[in-house]
Amino acid sequence: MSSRDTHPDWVDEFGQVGPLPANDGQRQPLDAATPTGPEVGTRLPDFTLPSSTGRTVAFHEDRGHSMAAVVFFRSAVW
Amino acid sequence: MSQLVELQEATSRLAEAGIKLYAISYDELGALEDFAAHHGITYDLLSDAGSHVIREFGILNHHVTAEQVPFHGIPFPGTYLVDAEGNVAAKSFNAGLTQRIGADGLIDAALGEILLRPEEPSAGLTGDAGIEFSMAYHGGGGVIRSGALRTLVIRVDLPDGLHIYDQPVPDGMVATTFTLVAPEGMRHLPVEAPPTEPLELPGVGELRVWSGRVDFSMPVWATDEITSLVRDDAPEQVTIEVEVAYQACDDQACRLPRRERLALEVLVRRHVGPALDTMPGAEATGMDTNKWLGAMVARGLDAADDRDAAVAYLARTAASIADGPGGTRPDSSDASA
Repeated sequence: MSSRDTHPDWVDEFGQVGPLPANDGQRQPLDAATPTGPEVGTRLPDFTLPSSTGRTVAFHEDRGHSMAAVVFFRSAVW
Repeated sequence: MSQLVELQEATSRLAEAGIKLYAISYDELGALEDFAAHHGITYDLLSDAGSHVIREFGILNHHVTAEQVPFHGIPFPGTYLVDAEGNVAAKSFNAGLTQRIGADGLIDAALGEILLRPEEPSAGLTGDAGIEFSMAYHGGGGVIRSGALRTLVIRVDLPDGLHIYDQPVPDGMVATTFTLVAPEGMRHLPVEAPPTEPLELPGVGELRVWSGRVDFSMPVWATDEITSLVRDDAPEQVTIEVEVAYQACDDQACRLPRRERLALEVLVRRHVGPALDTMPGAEATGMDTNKWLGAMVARGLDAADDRDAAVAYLARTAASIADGPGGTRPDSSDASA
């Protein structure tokens, strides 16, 4: 087991450490001007995408009359 | 990635709450299948390779330029809660790119109230004049994970006739405030309080008060300082305390100001991260990260307008990561499959 000191350039303003310096584009923090997509109260735009479960999911048809959570995440790879 | 694993752990509770779960990224379908297989993910991980849906939603991360291969195409991370009619009921986009709403945040939003669970750490005490205080660490099965938003739920039960104050109060009186006392690396957002009632005091004016049962919420999250990504000797549990300052009054008189301290011991879970050998303390995903990174690089280079600039960025990034912050990972036998 070994560790070495973390260079401050790699720690962002929230205290998180990333594999790239904190000023790299993909680590820029969100600010008030950051777009957050469809507004509360509006219909979520429909989409059709292939799924890890082997299905093709047409969102509104697939959820039927159920509530749903749609999570946009960075990546399952890195 | 930790977020995806936590959501899997909560799939039955999400289903009970009537919430279907979908997660979208710009990853190749094969990468999502690989990740799902390694982590037992049963809900839909949807592949938006090419970022068409991400663009249509207007949440493409525009800080990442086209030549920043393979990172170009990621979204600003966020979650939408959709009601039964298909409309957006709530959404969560947090300032820190690594702050994430968890399953419990979604369930709370869907129900419109916070339901505490038995496994969540809690503590209580009796304060001044029989006022009962309790605190629970809510969300994620009651454990700390880097970046995952949790809620400290602080409940104050006031005996009949007593009230406590919201800010502002005149000089000489004490409003109710909450101070987080925790190791460096625990952060919090502003406390959310229920509505107050007006109280007219002769010669003072209108003050705002709470009475009866009052639930305050302090959203908290842990940074990598706590969860071991920056050091190997990270604690397995930490003590989180909240100091409550308050002054109880009835219609006739005020009692002396008091402070109470609620303390919890909370377990720290490891972060689930890519197997890039750059970060200590992370639990590797077990999937073939390099294979899928290679596919992303090839895809990104094909799509880049300025291929030379993209290649130069890749070279700089690779050197930067090799030089990078975490140093040597703990022995790989440390990472569970």
